[in-house]
Amino acid sequence: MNDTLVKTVFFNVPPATVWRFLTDKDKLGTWFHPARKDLAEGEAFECYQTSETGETSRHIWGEVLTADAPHRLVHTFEIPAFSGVATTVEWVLEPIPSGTRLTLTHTGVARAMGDAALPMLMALDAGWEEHFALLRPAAMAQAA
Amino acid sequence: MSLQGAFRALSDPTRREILLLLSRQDMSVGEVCTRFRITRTAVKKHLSILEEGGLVSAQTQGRERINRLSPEPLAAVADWISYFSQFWDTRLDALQAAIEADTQAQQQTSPPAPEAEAPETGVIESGTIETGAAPRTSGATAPANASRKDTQDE
Repeated sequence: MNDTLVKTVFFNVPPATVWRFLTDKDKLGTWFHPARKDLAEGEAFECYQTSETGETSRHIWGEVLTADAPHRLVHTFEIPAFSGVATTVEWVLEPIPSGTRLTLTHTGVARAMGDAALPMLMALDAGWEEHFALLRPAAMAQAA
Repeated sequence: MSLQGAFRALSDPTRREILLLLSRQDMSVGEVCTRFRITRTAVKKHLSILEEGGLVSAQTQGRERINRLSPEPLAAVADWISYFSQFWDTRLDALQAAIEADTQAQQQTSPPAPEAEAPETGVIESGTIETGAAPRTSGATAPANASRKDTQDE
């Protein structure tokens, strides 16, 4: 099974700007989930969610393996459903004349999920629900 | 197996709860009812939708219908690569929107964006480079996911 996801996306801002959005705890909150502190090499990180009652809980977490600003960021990526098995996310930022090419590589997902299908589905909260809804058309297309 | 039915069955939190209960043990309708503060009729309705989705099978034992989890369709539904592929598409769209918003806030020269067609997403698979995936301009700003939302209707 192909267990690696690769995504490439372009930005019309320099790598240093994109880098901040990947590593700054507050900037992460604008498109992902806010982190407890800025991502730094060799350190653990934790992105959290805030419930309606104002309590925060860790949502996605891991360890920053490499932080070579503004070129390459590698971190492990864990969610509750992975039950302790870490996947790896690598971000590569390349300068191009008009800005930045960002390549995301996420490996180990299928392996980490294993037989966790049901617990994962149970763990779907509001945030994941949205992604799950998005999966539908994709899965339909695949089943057709 | 209708994947559509499985998705419908999974779309409701109560039904997912029921599945979780059934993953631990088989249960009669009455036993399922004791776990929820909803009417027996509502529970039976949920169970029948789960059954239609192929996620639960019910067997008659005496006067009772015993409900059992059928996990097979979950494997088909739970294509994790697709799942995370969509997950990152959504997040990367949000990242583009966030960076654009930030850039515009700094320049403070942005006229209101016209009601534009949702642009082609800049996210592409496996490093394939499309010319259409050029950086978005401020005029093409769209809410994250706008290009996808319209494909979700049943």
